[in-house]
Amino acid sequence: MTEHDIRTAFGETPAAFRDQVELTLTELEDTPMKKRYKLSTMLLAAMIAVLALAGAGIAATQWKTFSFLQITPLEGADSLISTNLASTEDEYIRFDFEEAIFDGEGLIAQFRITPKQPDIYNLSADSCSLIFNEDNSYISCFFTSNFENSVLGADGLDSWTFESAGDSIIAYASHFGPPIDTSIQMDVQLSYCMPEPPYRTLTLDFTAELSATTDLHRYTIAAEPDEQPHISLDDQEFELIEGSFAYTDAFGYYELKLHCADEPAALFDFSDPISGFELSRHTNEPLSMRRSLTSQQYLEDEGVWFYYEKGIMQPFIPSTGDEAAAPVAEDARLNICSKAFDIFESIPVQLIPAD
Amino acid sequence: MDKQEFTLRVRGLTDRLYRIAYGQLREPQDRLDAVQNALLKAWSSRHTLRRAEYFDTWLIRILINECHDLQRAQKRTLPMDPLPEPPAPADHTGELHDAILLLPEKQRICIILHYMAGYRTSEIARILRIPDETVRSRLKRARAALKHLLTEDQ
Repeated sequence: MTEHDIRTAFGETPAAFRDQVELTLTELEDTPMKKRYKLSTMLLAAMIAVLALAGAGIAATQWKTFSFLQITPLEGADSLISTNLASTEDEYIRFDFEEAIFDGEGLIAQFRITPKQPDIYNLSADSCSLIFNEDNSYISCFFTSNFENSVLGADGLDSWTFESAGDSIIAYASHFGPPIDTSIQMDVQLSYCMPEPPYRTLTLDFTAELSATTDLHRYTIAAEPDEQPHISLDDQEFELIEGSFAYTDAFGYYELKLHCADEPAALFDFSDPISGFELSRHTNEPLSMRRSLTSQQYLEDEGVWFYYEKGIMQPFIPSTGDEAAAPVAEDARLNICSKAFDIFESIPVQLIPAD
Repeated sequence: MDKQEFTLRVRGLTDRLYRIAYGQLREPQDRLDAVQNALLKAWSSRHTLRRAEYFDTWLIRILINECHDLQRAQKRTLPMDPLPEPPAPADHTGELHDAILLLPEKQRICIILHYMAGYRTSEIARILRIPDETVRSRLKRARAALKHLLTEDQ
């Protein structure tokens, strides 16, 4: 069985099919396009945008992780960032745990991998590959991680993403889960291979107290009473049943449950590009940092389908510098988009404080 | 997008559209209906396509939805006797053809999109709106299943 065998297994396209395509194309009426639904840049970047709060003085862009994620966090995010957490090295590689953002709900960690002989070994951000200059052989690094305690679950860090930084590469990894303690213990393993086996492994052991915020703002998402909570996406119909939204100074989190008029044909992406931290808008490629913690479709009663998604998003809520300022419910919108089609639906919702 | 551009792009996709419809629907007439409906829907909703470079994945997604709609409609009006498997095309031996059609739909569509339509896994992920990793694992399982089915036949 070769690829060619598979490619030709269904035979040639029959004339009847081609004729049908041509006939349909001929019958299309050359009408002007409808005006496309227009959303502001802010809405494109946000799933649930609370627009009423006028922005004032947020910075924190000196932090590598926020810059990489193109996040402008709230002012209090500074206190959630830890730096220069651990380092290790061997003959070829230096491995630094440079930065961590931990808000009690999620963790994003930033590592730096630096070759000690960059004139011989060149690191590339492409899949964190180690390129051996002399013969240009392609060598991959593999990361694994493990948390000693159960605070962050047993899965460890995931969603590794990389970028170049001079001779080094910087690796970002994330973990999000249920609300957690403030103590984190973990070890991160960097495995790499020189032109000849065996694999070499560097283990970075890390134990630290990372400060977590207690300032978690929780809201219930409800449809506006006077609005039809109706979402139409690619000929599929959805209705908002319930949802919740929470944010810290670093990140935002959401859960949604939608009733589907019919079985969802495929999972679609509520969160892109925002929970993908906007980078997908620049690369047009799905990034591993894009987060969708859980998404599922299920049949609750016969013929009644639901779609559920839980995810993380960047903190897009503008800050007034006044932490007590609450989002204004009537300006909240639930924006849903599909990565493949870039189609957006936007419905007004209420954000009801949960406390 | 005007009619001329739409027409040109659809013509360039005709073979891919056929293979996808073939993999999803048993009856030749259903495939014709699906592609007709998909083209009409795509044309009427072309204003929703924000980026022209996504035209292929966008149209294929619509076609897959159309195939699903037809399948669902057929489930509601099940015939008394199950339909026979479609015969393999005359220009190809039937074993691989039959094995592909025996795959679970989620694996089959990945095989069709990757090997028959030539899409990369990242593009398939866009079309199906599933993670890239899921596409790769489905392809892996599908290849293993095909190998098993073809070995079993011998």
